[in-house]
Amino acid sequence: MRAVASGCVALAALAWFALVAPQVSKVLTNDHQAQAPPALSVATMRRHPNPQVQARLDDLQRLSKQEQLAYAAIATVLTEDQRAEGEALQRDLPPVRENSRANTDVVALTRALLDTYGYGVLPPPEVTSNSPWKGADPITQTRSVQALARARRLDDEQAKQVLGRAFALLEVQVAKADLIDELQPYAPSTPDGPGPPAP
Amino acid sequence: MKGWAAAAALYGVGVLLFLWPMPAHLGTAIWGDRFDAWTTLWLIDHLADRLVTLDFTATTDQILYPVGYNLWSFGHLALQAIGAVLVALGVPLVASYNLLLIGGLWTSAMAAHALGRELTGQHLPGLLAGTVFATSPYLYGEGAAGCIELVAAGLLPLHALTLVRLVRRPTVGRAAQATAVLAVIGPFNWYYTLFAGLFAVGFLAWVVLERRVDKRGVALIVGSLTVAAVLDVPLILEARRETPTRPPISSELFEELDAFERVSDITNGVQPLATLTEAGLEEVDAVQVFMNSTSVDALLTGRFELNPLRSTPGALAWIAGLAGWAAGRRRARGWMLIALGASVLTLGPYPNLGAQVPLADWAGDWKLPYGWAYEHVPFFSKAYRPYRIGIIASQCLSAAAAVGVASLTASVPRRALAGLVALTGALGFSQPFWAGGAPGNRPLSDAAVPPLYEELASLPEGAVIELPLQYQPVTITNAKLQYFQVVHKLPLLNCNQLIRRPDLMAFRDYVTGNPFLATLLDIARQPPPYRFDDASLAAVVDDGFRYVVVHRDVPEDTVRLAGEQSVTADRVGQPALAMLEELFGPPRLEDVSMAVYELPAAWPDEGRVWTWSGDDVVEVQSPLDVRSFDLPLKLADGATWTAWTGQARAVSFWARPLADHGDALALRVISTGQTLASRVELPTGHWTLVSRSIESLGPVRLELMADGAPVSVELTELQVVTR
Repeated sequence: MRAVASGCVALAALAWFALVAPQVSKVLTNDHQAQAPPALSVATMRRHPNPQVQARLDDLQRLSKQEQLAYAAIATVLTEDQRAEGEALQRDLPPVRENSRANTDVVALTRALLDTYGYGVLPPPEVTSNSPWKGADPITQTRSVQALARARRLDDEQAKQVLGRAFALLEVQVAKADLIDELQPYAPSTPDGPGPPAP
Repeated sequence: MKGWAAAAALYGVGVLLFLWPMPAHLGTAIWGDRFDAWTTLWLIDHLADRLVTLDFTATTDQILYPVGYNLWSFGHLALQAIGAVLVALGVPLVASYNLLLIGGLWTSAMAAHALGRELTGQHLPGLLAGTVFATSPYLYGEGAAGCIELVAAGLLPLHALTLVRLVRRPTVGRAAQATAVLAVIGPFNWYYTLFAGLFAVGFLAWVVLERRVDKRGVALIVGSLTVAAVLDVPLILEARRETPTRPPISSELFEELDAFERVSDITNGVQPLATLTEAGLEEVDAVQVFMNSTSVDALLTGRFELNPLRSTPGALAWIAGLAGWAAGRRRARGWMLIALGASVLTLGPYPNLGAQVPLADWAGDWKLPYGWAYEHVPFFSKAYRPYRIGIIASQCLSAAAAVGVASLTASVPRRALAGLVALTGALGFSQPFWAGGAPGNRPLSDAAVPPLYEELASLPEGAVIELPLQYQPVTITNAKLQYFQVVHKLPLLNCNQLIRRPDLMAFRDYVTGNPFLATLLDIARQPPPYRFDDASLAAVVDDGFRYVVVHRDVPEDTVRLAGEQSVTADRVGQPALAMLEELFGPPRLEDVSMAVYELPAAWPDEGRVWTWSGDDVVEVQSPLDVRSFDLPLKLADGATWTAWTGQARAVSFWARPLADHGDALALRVISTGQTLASRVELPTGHWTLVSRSIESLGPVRLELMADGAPVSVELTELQVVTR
């Protein structure tokens, strides 16, 4: 009886560590909910009379172009299926602005990024290098590298390279989100919100 | 005796497999690359010197010169002292270190085996206990981090064994044994003294509640703990150097992202030394508690982790322990409860689900037992790395596993049980090669010392300043500088002991009080202008400094102790090199990898002010600088990249080949009507400083070319001296 009970417990524990724990881990390390950046119509904003707003809109369009370039780079290294899967997963990405600072939940972000973009992401050269990854502390980085290496069956050095590039790409999105934040007060009034400040 | 001999042999084989391939490189490489490892090597060698000269004073000026360093600041010397004896007997230093690691793991296995055998009266359960205890990710991770004194954990199960014996037959003799073992743990490791005490309290509560011990037994256990504590009292004052008064912790601090960034700036050596304060360092110490807590994720997944901060007893220990509990039931219950309690303590003061930084808002409302004990239990705050309490969980899980196997001997054929234990042993000791990220496949750390240090040892006596001067071991290269001292044996100005606040403050006051030394601080990351006066140079010479060492070849830093921020920390650039040359003339010693500049015996204070503006040096900004996008320079055979066009008197850059076999570039200087090319050899695994003078009066074009084969190199800090 003891032997049977012991065997059952051993098997249950084995099943936990082999099958259940990895799923639980995913939940525990991805507990932030997605929140898309607020929508903002550039075309409408182009009618705004403030020249500073127009200059920032130029910046925004430049960043959007960089982002498109980055996505194009991704497209060259991913299969159709991977891209489709990535687009679906992207909807579950953590909000970029909350992760724009170093050390903010880098582990969770790593998983989401890598699930979305896969291996081989190359940011366009215009992308700023001041990414959260570079500012993260070594412990967080090590954890991220290990999480990624496990998830993608990479060695640590590969994982490090991938993360550096993926976070550089993210920085474009962060900068874009920050700009959108900055421009938000100038957006046309809506029934639910305040109008733009006087020019 | 046969059983013991067989167990010893089996653990010997198992430990060698567990640590493989280190045993095959016993005298040339070590198993981890963190600064703890290099510091421990230095300490062993230094203690060996002390043994030979019979010098048992507590302070040394061989490091942190001329401020001086108290050896008690290391907090634990006993294991290193054993290594020192080996070195004094003629065993090479690196081999001694590796033998201590092998020995530490082997003795841990043997002690857990002894506990298992004491509990069950049989060797087979002992084998299971020894395997489960010695093959935990915790011990593996600590070994990889260079904390060999934590790998030598055998005294913990040995102390548990003495308590078990004391409960079974409460005699003064057995109480004395328990006392002696607990007291001996102190000099080996202060954490473990505290953990053994914690275990003893849990164990006592268990046996009292289950009425397994009489009043005499309780009195003897309490007496044993008390006497051991009194015996260690003389050491407590000294040990406080290693862990000064612990600062208060709070959920507000851990929820503040800015606090982590401030701490990160200090631990990465980015915050200017002059601005370091006691309060800032206390904040570092407080945040350590959070950073060193096990996450719920790590605990539940029990992965075989290389990073000790994520280490736990591991899946194997939990499976064996839980199965042992199911089989052993009441006999294993106490062990399991203590294991669970210890595991909860490893979670630290507040729950952290997935190792997120900072602490989630909701978690601040859930203070865990560790948080309460940190605030209210005397001495408990000394255990400021909660994950390490996992060693008690490992010990108890291995004991529960042993008890469980023993209880099955009546119903399961012995051969089947032996097979099960053998399978566990094979799985346990081979984990590094298949579990987790298979960390056993990672490369070892080369312990070779650059040959020029032997020549430095033969120069006249004088203290050494290694560049760049750092207040944190932000890179492996920097962490190894203290280790290199075992060859040149000259006093060294350095500081790499983050947790010793007083030492760091003393270093700050000394270095920032001298403008020349302050200039050398983190000079690889500090652009000109550099400015100091004669008086500061004269003071440095008067203090006994005679050599300044700068490295032209920096091994690739795969660990990156301070993350990406440390990439440039080792690579001293052209302006600093020009400054040294102008001050001290050509190097007294030099080879391809380093240069040693000699300071004069006296520096006349003529009131001069030395200034290097750096105006004549242009740092070429390029997307192909690895700092920009982490992208390498890739050139097809015959392809060229124009790095600079204009006036140039000299050019320098740091490069690292990505190919396993090294690489070579051609550096071409093209001026009117002539092209000069020089070949640049780049050894694999190293950053190499490439520096060339240019003799041309007119503008030039500098090109890098792949000559004969495609090239893939990382390139950075391309600097041109323009006039």
